[in-house]
Amino acid sequence: MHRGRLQSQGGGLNDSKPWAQPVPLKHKTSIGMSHALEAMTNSKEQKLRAAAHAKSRAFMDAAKAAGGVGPTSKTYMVKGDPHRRVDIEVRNGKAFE
Amino acid sequence: MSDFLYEKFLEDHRVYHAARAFWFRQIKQMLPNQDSLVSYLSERFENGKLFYDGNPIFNAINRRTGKAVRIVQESPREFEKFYASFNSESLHQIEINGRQQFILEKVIVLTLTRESLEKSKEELRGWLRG
Repeated sequence: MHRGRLQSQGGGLNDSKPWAQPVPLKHKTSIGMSHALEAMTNSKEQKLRAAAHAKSRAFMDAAKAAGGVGPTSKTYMVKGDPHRRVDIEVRNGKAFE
Repeated sequence: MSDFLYEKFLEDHRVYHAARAFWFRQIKQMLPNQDSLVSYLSERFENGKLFYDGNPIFNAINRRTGKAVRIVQESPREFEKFYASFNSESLHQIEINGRQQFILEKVIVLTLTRESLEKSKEELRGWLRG
């Protein structure tokens, strides 16, 4: 199985978009999940986290260009804020190909 | 003179590799001799190329305690002086004494200066020893 999750954490948020499936998570699907995660919050939080979400998607783009990625964790903090963050966790298998 | 160590790590791959080696040495020397560190996350894409983004710049687990550390080194140009840390129960698992356990992570996100290095080492000493 291919498993993982995208998360928006800190600042009172604990939002998550997980996946668990028999085939690797496609890049296009992950970008859609990232936008859906971003849309779960109010406009103030979306503005604060915009750069962190954009960086997480840039990593997905880089991973696609490089054939995907295996188990790893990425954390994108909001600049100047020690709590708010966006995470990528690829637990098993492969993602973003 | 800049306060930042390995300041150009995102621009020069030689500096990036030196920064990785620096973190490994710093953290290895905190451990008791009998403990060993093992990487538990990939820092490479499927084609074998390193991420080269400092995220993470270092990751390792102490197999004796099941506690892990993940260091994310941020760009001084973007973050200036920055330090954040949090504990997390990772989705990743490890087998300890025949049982699969979720890895407990201490995650530190920083821009690297002498000051932030000392702060991170202070946090990690107790954490990694168990």
